[in-house]
Amino acid sequence: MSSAGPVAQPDADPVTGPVMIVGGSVAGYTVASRLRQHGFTAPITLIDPEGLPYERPPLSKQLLLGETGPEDLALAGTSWFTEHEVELVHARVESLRLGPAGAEHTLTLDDGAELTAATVVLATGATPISLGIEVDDDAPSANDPSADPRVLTLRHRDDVTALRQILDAAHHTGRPARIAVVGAGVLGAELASSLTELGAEVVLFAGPGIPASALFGRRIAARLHAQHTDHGVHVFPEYAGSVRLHSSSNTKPSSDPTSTGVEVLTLSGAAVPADAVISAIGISPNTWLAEEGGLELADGIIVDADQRASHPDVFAVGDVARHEQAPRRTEHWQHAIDTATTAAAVIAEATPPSPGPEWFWSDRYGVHVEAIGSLRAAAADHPATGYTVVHREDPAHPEKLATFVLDDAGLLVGAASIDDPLAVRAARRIIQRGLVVDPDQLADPEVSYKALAR
Amino acid sequence: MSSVDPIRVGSVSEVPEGEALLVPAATTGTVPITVFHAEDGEFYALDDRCTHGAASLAEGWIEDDQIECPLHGAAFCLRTGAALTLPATVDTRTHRVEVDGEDLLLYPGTPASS
Repeated sequence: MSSAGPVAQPDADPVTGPVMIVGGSVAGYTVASRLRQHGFTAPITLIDPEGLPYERPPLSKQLLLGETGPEDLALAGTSWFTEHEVELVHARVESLRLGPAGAEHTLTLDDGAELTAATVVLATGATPISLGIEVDDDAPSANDPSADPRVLTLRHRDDVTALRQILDAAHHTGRPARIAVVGAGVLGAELASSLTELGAEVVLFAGPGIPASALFGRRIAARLHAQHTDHGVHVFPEYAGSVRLHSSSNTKPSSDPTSTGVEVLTLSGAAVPADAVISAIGISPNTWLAEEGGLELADGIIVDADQRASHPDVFAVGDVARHEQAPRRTEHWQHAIDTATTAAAVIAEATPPSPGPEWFWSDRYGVHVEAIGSLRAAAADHPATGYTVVHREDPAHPEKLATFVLDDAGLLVGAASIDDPLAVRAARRIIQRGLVVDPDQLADPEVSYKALAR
Repeated sequence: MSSVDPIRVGSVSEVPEGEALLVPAATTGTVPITVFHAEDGEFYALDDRCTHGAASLAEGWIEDDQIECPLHGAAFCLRTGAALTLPATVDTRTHRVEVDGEDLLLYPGTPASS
C-alpha cells in the first residue's frame, strides 16, 4: 500500500450510491448478482464492451468444438438484468477519475457518456501476452502485424470465431489446417486437444521439461503431457521466440506446408511453418484504468482481504486483482467468483464467506483434471523438503490418478486428480476443516474419500 | 409425464447415507434420475444429468441438502433442484420419492413438492 491510510476501513456510512462494475465475465457478473442476493438496493451498472457477461472456460473446449453456441455461454439473459435492476451498458470505459473517499467518482465511456459512482468495482480482466512478430515488407499486414488474422490469442468469443475461420479456410483446400500452439499450460493443452479433435495438425511449443508440473504435480503433469504425442500433436520441447509473417495470404493456404505464411521461430533457430499461430503463454492484467485512477499496482491491482484497492471506494476482483500478501496473482475461474463474492459482501456490509483454497479444472483429450491448493511441493521428481507426496492409484480404474501433498504437520496443502474428481472434492473439505489425514489412507483406493473428509 | 404410479427402484439398505442410486432411463421411462440419501436421513431425487454439462450427479458429493456435481462443482439443492452455484445457471427437476418400509418408491416426473 502506498500508505496505511487509504486501505483502512472508512468511517463513512454504508454505501448507498450507485455501484459501477467495469467488466463483465464471471467476476463482474458475480459482484452484481451477489449484491442483489444481499438485498443491496442502490443502482448497479455493469459495463462491458462485449455486452452480456459470459463464461470463458468453454471457449477453448465446447465453443471451439462447436458443441455449444455463443449464446449458450451467457451467465444470465437480459431478463435477469431487468428483473434484478442491474443496468447493462455495452461500452468501453475510457477513463476513470476518482474523487476523495466518499465523494463521486466519474467513468467516461467510449461514446463520451459520463457515469458517476459511489463505488467502483474493477473487473477488467487480462489480455493475452502476444508473441513478438517479424513481418516481410510485402506482407499484407506489414503496417499492423498485431491485426494479422494468422496471429491469434484466445480470450474472447470473437477469438474462437477467428480460429474457426482459419480451420474452415484450410478445410476448403482439402487439407488439415496446421496450427502452431505456443505454450502448453492449461489453455495451450486444451487448444491442442480441441484442435486435434477438429482435424487440425497441431504443433505445440511446450518448452523444455514437463509443463504445468507446479500446477498438477509431476506425475499427473507428465501423464497429461504425454497425451499430446499420443494424439498426434507434434510437441516441440522448445520455447517459441517470435513469429515471422510472410506475404502469402491466409485465405488461400498453399498445399506446400513451407509456404503457409507463418513461421514460428524457436530460440534455437528453428523455423516451423504453420497456417496460423495461437499464443497461450499467459495473460497480463488490464490495469490501465486503475493506473489512471492512481491505484497501487504490482502485476495487478493491489487489494486487501476485502478486495478493496488502495482507494476505499474501489474494489478489484478476478484476474486483475492481486492480494497484497500473495506471491502472485491468481487467474482461475473459481478465484474470480470468490473475489467477487467477497467484494459484494463487503459492499453490502454483509459478512464475506471465507474463500476456499485455489481450485481449477481442465478438460482435454476426454479426461478431466482438477487441482486444489498448491501442488508446488510435488513439482519435481522428489517432494520439496518438509512435504510428503502420496499418489492414489486404483488397479480397477487405471485411468484414475490422484496426488496429495501434505506438509510437515500432516495437513493437506494440495491435491490434483485425473478422472477422479471426488479426490479434489474431499481435499477441499479436508483442507478447509484442517483435518489431519493418514497418508496411507489417502493412497488406498479402498478407503472412501467421504470417510476421509468427515 | 402423466404417470402417477411409483416405481420401486431399490431398497433403503442399498443406499447408505451420503450415497446415491442412479435409476436408468429404461427404468424411469424418461431421463435417468438419481435418488440421493442425504445426511439428514431423507431421500431426494433429481434428474441425474447436471444442467451445466455432461456429468452424472450420481457421481457427485452429497453434503447437507446439496449435491455437488463431480465435474465442475456446480451445487444443486436436493429439496428444490435449485442451481446454487456457478457454473450451473439452470435449475434441475426434482422427483417425488417415498420410503415404504424397505422399498424406495420413485415418481418420475412428479415434483417432490407435490
